Parts: sequence; structure tokens; C-alpha cells
Amino acid sequence: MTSAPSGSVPARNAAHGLLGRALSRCRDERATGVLHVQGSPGGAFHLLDGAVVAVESPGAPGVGTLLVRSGRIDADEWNAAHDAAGTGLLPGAAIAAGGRLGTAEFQVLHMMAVQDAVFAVLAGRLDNCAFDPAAPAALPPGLAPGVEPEELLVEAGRRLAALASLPRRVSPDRDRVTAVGPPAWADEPLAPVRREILGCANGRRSPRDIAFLIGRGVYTITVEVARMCAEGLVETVPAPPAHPLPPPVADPAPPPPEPLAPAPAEPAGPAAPRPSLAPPEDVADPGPYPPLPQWGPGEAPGGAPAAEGLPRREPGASGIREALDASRPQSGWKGFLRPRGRSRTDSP
Amino acid sequence: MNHDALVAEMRTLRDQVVGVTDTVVAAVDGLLIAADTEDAIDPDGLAALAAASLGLARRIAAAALRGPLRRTVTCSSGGYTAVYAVGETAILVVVGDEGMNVPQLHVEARSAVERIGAILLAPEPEPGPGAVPAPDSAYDPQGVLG
Repeated sequence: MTSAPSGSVPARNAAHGLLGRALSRCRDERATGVLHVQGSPGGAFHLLDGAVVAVESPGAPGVGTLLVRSGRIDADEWNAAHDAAGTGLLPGAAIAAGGRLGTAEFQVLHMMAVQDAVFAVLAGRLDNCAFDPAAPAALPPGLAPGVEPEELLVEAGRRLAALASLPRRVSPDRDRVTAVGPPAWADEPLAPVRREILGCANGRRSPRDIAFLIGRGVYTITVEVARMCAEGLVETVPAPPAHPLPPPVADPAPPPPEPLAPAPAEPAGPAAPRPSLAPPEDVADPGPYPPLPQWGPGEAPGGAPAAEGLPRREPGASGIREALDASRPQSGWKGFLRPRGRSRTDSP
Repeated sequence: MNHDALVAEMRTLRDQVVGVTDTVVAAVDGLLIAADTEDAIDPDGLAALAAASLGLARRIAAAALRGPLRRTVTCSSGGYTAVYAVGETAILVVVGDEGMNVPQLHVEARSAVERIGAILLAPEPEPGPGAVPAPDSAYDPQGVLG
């Protein structure tokens, strides 16, 4: 990815620049395949003749999730669509191909999901881009038109800037939010989406998790959560200390935690830094975007939750310690239910 | 066994892989060791079922002559439940939503399983001077991690 940056897309940060260069190169070569974006959450851009026909990311719900969580289709149809996805279709496209969803309705939802996924990819950490020309595009040509990569990047940049301009900054997939006690909002009329967010904000879920749970766009939910943070309805949960107790000194010592991914191919200094368990007090301002919020002390009122509040039990206390080993002599009912006249494909 | 190190390891896995929502560590007999689960999930029942499913999957793999088992993954309309063996005495259960990157989970879980295995086998650290007393008083069956 050493080609010159695209002229029309201003590189707003390193992630934006890296992805923009990769996509514009695919555009110039009219490439067909999948551009895998490694990072957290990362994603996959499906390209047809250089145009983006679909984007999948663990950081944003796809069309199928939006459909099934909103009640538009039921879980059985969703499972059937997943099976159809083996033919190369996205699950959402399989639903549309089955006639359960109008083409126009699918295209609207699909474009929303694509834009949301691009936002999620750029809001996270981006390590590298790798193009796979062998993988097929995920949509049949003609069902949904491809989009110019520049359009997607400009819109994602606008969304990132809008999110960064809010008084409270919330990361879509790193900040976990909890509802502030009901007295603050019990008597107020709340928008339905806010009530849904309050119902889901249990301190364990990020805006991304809530978006998956209720079937809304992750950008929509992140903006709403950031506003609710500013209004005191929800609060981000600070990360607990990594190790409240000193690590065990016994041998064998557990190996140190390995880095998540290989080092970025380019100096990705201003990219969104990876959240570590230790509160990073030394995170510097990474660039044109104000940094998305990090785990940090003092972010939220209230102390860190007690990390030791868990059920506990020593392993092996039941006395059952043996491995489930296939070489062990088995119990005596081995041939108990074996049918006498079973058919064998290799029998004469 | 250092319970806090175990809890930190489970939480790290949830933070590392986007889409992981809950984790449980249990003994192979299905009894719970530690749970990082939301309130709606019964960690004891999940641990027992996961241990049974892993044992069953091992037997299935052996009956089908397909070699040692790597893991079991249950796919449902709302997400995934993966069960990994931790050594020969424990299991790790990972629950994720439908957006979870399953291949990435397998990569991260491999190293997490090694570290969890080492934590489970390590003896209780000696309470040295200045050490925090063992948090037995903080026992909380609800398993709320925050």
C-alpha cells in the first residue's frame, strides 16, 4: 500500500489514510475481490470492479441482524438465510433473494449497514489491509449498486467528526456504559431508543453491543449514548485495574500477554490506540480527530467495580480429575444399542 | 490459584475480541470456577451444560475417528457459544453475539487457554508483606463483574 494517497479523500487520520489508499488502488485497478481490513474491530470490503458492494465488520450489525432484531423477520428465516449464505450471498441478500424482502427495502437497509460498517472500521484500530482477489463478491451483480469508495470514506469522516464534536466522547466498541440510577430519568418522557439503551446499559455493554442487541446502527447508538452521557443518564464504566493482586510467582509462570496482532505495516502513530487493561494516562492527542475516549480513571464518577466479585471454586474439588480420554477402557454398554442388521456402504 | 489473575484473564478476552459478551471457566465435571456473565445467564447451568457438551463432542470425534477435539462451537440465530478445553481439568466457555469474529476468537482463545491453564495450576501465592488479603470476604454469587 505505497501508492499515492487519493486526491479527493482527505486523509483525516492514519486509519483513514491507510484504508483510503488501499481502496483507491483497488478502484484504479477495477479490482474484484475482498479487501480484508485487519484491526479491531476490522472488517471486509467486498469489491466489484473497484466499487464497494458490501462491507462486513464485527463492529456494526449487518442487514440480517437489523432485520431479525427489529422483528421484521423471524429467527427461522434468519437461520435459513445463513445456510443460503454458503452459496456466496450475504445472509441479508439471501433473504432479499428469497422474496421475503423487497429489493428497494433491502437496498436501503444494505446501504445503511455498509455506511455503518465503514464508520465502525474507521472508529477502531486499523493495522493493515490485505486484498484477496480469489474471494467472490458477496452480492449478485444488479441487486445493489456498488458505491464509490470515496463516498463511503467522506461520509465516515463526517460521522467521526460529528461524534468527536459532542461534549462527551464515547468509543463505539471500547467504552462500556451503565445506566445511572432511575431517579434521574424515571419521570421524564424518554424517546424509545433512549429507553431501549437504558434497558441494555448494564455496565458490560458497549454502544456496539447495544446496537447489535436492539438492531440499530452503531453510529446512531454511539451518538445517542454520548448525548445521554452528557445529560447524566448513562455513564461509562472505567476499566478495572489489570491485576489487583501481584501475579503468581510460582512456576510455570504464565507467559506474558501477547500482542493482539503483528505490528502495523506503516507507522500508524495517530491511529486510535489499542485499549489496554492498564489505564493509559500517557495517551497523547493522536491527530486531527480528537481521540476517542479511552479507559481512564476519573472518566466516570464512582469507583472501579470490584474485580473479585465472582463465584469461586478450586478446580478438581469434586475429585473428578481424569481427562476424557478416548483410549481409556469404556464402560460395558458399548455394544448395547448396536443394531444387528445395520447397513454399511462398504458391504458387498 | 490466583483468582484475580483468572478474572483479569477472562476480562481481557472479552475486551480483546469484539463481540464476546460472557465467559465462564469451569472444571471438566461442570462445576463453576469463575464466571464473567450478565445477570440473565445462569453460569452454573451454562458451565454444567458446556462441560457435558465438550465431553460428548470428544466422544463423537473419537467415534468418527477424527482425532483429538479442538473445540466445540454452537451457532444460533443470536450468536455463538464456544467451549475450549483448558488442559485436562477445566473448560473455558465463551459466549458472543452474531457479530463476533469467530476465527479471531480461536486465535485469541488459544493463548488465553494456555494462560488460564497456568493460573489454575499455580499454587496460591504466599501472602507476603503488604499483600492484599485473600478476597474471601468479597464472595458474591451473583458474579457481577461490572
